[in-house]
This record gives sequence, structure tokens and C-alpha cells, in this order.
Amino acid sequence: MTTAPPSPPQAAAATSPSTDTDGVPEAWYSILADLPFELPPDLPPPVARADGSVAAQLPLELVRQAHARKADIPIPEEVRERYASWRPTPLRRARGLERHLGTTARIYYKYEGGNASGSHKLNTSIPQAYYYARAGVRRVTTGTGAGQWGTALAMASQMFGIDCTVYMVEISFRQKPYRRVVMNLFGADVHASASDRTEVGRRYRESSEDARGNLALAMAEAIEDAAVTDMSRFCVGSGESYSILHQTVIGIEAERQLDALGERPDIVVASMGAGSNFGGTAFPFLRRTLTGGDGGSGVRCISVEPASCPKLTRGVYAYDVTDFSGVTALEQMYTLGHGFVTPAIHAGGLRYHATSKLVSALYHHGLIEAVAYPQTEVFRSGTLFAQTEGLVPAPESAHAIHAAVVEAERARDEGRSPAILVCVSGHGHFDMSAYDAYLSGQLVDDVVTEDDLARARATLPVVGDVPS
Amino acid sequence: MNPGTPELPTQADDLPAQVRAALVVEARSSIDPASLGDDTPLDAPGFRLESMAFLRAMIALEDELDVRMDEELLARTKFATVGDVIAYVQASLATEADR
Repeated sequence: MTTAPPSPPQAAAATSPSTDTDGVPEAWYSILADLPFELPPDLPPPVARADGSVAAQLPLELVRQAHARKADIPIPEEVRERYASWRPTPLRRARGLERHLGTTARIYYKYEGGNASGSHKLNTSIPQAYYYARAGVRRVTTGTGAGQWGTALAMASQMFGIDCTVYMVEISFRQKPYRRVVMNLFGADVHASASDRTEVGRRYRESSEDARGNLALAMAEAIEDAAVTDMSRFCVGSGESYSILHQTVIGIEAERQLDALGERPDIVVASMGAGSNFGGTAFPFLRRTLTGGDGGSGVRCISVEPASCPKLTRGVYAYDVTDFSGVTALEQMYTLGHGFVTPAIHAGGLRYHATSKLVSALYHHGLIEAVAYPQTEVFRSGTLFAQTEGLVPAPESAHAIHAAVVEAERARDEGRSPAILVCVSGHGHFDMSAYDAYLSGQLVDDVVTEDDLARARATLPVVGDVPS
Repeated sequence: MNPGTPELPTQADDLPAQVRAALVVEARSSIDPASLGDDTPLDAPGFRLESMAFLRAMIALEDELDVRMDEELLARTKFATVGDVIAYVQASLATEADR
């Protein structure tokens, strides 16, 4: 075996904040403990690493968390202290939106954009950076779509004294130049993907005329970069069971805040990228359903995805790769096929071809619902929310808001008065080109045809052919 | 762990056998653990161990041996053979004993 030199002391210990952690959850919720079924096992990757060797890509604590069969996983005190700089996040009733809609529903929103990354992503980047730093890792790499995850990882890396390199999907890199600046502000090295820094990036640039890039490619570049650089590791922002676990602070806080108001939601809605925002919001509420604590009243948890990237509503439950590197395990999940080319919608964080195996399994077993909407409808509701609530939502979050609007209008028309909880996962301050396109009538809805889906499904790996 | 796969040996003094068994279980391989030599590569035919399976094996061995693996050594190490993994687990046990 080969080993790298020992790592120098981390800066984390020297920069611990002293913050009041009142109201910050003491534990994350692992839904694995309460599932009435087993998750399908991962399968070996299509190709072995070039030299056949194996290196630990994750700190062991994240592996333990990804397989935790204990419901409550204690949050390290140092992570809670970092959380306390912006958590608990506010839960507000959207009275302005309710009045505008004339609805009998009560709409509550949980706002996750109140930190410098502008989104919920900081909930998992902090514990990830914490565990990587403790494991002696000196540098992390990642791929980012809309830029929220890259920003969050840049911030967390800086907190714990490790370097950070981000591969940002080319189209977002161009549409959101100031996202890159914020990442630079927190010390990250940022590259547009496809880049010429990696083999996979160079291959893509030579073979594809599509200069937009995509998240699976950016992740593959980050994986390759980490694999060839000493003491570097690849970090993933969503989809992994441990990242969903970390996001459960959203739902846990919301449940406590609603309890204090004497409310229990009938409907929980969140947008769907790879699954961590949705899982983090919905899983603590599903806990009552899974453990029989809701007396059978069953909250409806609704995942909201773009009509132009409809992985749950029009995808298949199959084994697929999670990125383009070819060296990561195959997972059974709802997928469009990794060759699916998502139209250039503005919700960059929702352009991923699949969703996490955990969320997928819940959908497969009928425990959650899924809807898909075209972006013009989504931006109409996002704009309405800004005008009635004074908060500009990220395009990703506007998907969830639109679903809440649809449910509230339905309740009004049917004379019902449900309590609806919607997660506003981030602000849209870096998305003005998208809102500008909507306001000037330039926004269009791409139509995904059955032929498009069939072509993408043809890129699914044939599991029987996967070497074991 | 999968039904039909070998049980982990329970003799604490047979550490190499315990490691080999854990690797076979998590690689979802049907190979006989005893057939793995110290120089068997981790991508041998019928026994390909990818990174996550390797890490799951380390977690299983932590429970089995009641030991915490050496996380810093783990991050600094590339494992090419079964013997590399056995040596790492032995090093973790020695580190734990020194604490």
C-alpha cells in the first residue's frame, strides 16, 4: 500500500465560534431506521479504477451515517455552533400570498436562504467539511449546477481550513458570474465545466458541440481531479443518504415551529433536484407516518420537479450511474438515463438526470407524491411570491412555491382549509437573468417528447452486463 | 449483508480471516474468502471491491472487532491488495491499543 505524508494540524480548532445554539436541533433524523423495506443494494461500477487500487473516498463517519439504523444521529457540537450563525431559520405564514389567492388554505414557508451561500446547501457542507478535516483531508473538489452547492462548500471549507476547487456547469458559470465571485471570496478555486483540466472534460470538449455542460460532467471532473491529487476528496451536495440526513434540520425545526403554533401540516412541498432539499424537509414529517405517530392521518409529501427534467414523474426505476466518471457504484433510482440532455432551464439545481436512491425508494413504495411543472408557470408563482411576501425565491424554490399555489387554489375551489408547508430553499438574487427573461416574455417551455425519453433510456447500463 | 454469504469468523485471533470475510461480503462476491491471498489484488476476477464496499467492510469490522479505524491513516492510504487492507486493520488495532 502507498501512503501520503501526515497532514498538518487543521485550522478548525483555532477558529471555533462561541455561539448560542438554542433552538438548533441536537440530532439529525435518519429515515433508514423507520423504513418498512430494504433499499436495493448498490452495484459495482462499470469500470475499475485504472490501477485497480482502492482509496477511502469518504470519512468513515459519513459512511456510518449513510447506513445508520438509529433514528436520531447526534449533531457534533462544533457543527451545531456553526449552524447557530443562521439557524433556526424562520418559518413564516404567507398571509400576503394567501390573500392574493383568496385561499382557505394556510400556507407556511420555511426560508433557508438566510446565509451567505443563499441556500439550504450549507446544512450539509458544514458537517461534510468538518468530517473531512477531521479525517486529515486537505482539499475537497466538487461539481455545482446553479452554484449554490459550490458556494456552500467554499464557505464550509474555509471554516475548517481546507482548500476547495469547484467545477461549475458552463451555462451557470456564464449566467451567474457573481456566484463565482462569492466562491472566490471564500477562497475557492472555480472552473467552468467542461474544463481542459481533466481527461473527462477534454474528451467532452472535443466530442460535443453542446457548450452548456451538465452536472454529471462537472461531478466527473471533480472526481477525476480528486483522484489524481494527493489528499483530495470529492464532495457531493445532494442525493447521498448522509447529505439528506444533514438536511433534516429543516424539517425538524419546521415541525417544532409548527407545533408551537398548534399546527400540523396536511401537505409538505419541496423542490426536487437530487433529493436533499425534499428529503430534509419531508422526512421528519414522514417519521410520524412511518412510526404510526400521526394516527393514520398521513401527511402528503409532494416532490416538485421541472417538466423538462421529469425524473420521478416520467423516469424509470432502474440502475444507473450517478455521474459520468464511470468509477462510482450503480444505484437503483428514478432516472431519465444519464445520457438525458436537460433543456437549458433556469433552475440549474434541478437539472440532474436522476434522484437519490432513498427518495426514489419512497416514491416507488407510494410514500410520497411527485408533480412536474413547466418553468413559465413556476416563474409566475415565483414572481407572485416575491410581490406578496417580499422575498425573491431561487428558481428551484419557485417550483415548490408553485406547487403550494396549485394546492392552495385547489383547496379554495373545493372549500377545504389544509395547512401547507413549503420549503423556500434559497433566494434568487443571483438569478436576475432568469427573472429578466420571464418578465420580458423571453422564457419558453421546452417540451420533452417520448422520443427524447426513449433515447435517454437507451443510455441506461445493462445491469446483467455489469462485471461483479 | 447478503443472505448466503459467509459469516464473519468469530475468533479474535484470526484477524486476517475476519478481514477477508468482510471484504467478500461487502464486495457481494461468491468467492471463498480463504482463497484470497495477501497479494490478491482488490480488482481480482470475481472480486472487485469498489470504494464504498471497502468502506462498508471497514465499518462492519469496527463493529466486529470493537475498534475505531485510524481515520487519518485511512485517508492517506491507497489499497492495492488484500494484504494492504489486513495491514491497515492491524495498524488501526495497534493505534487503538496505544491510546
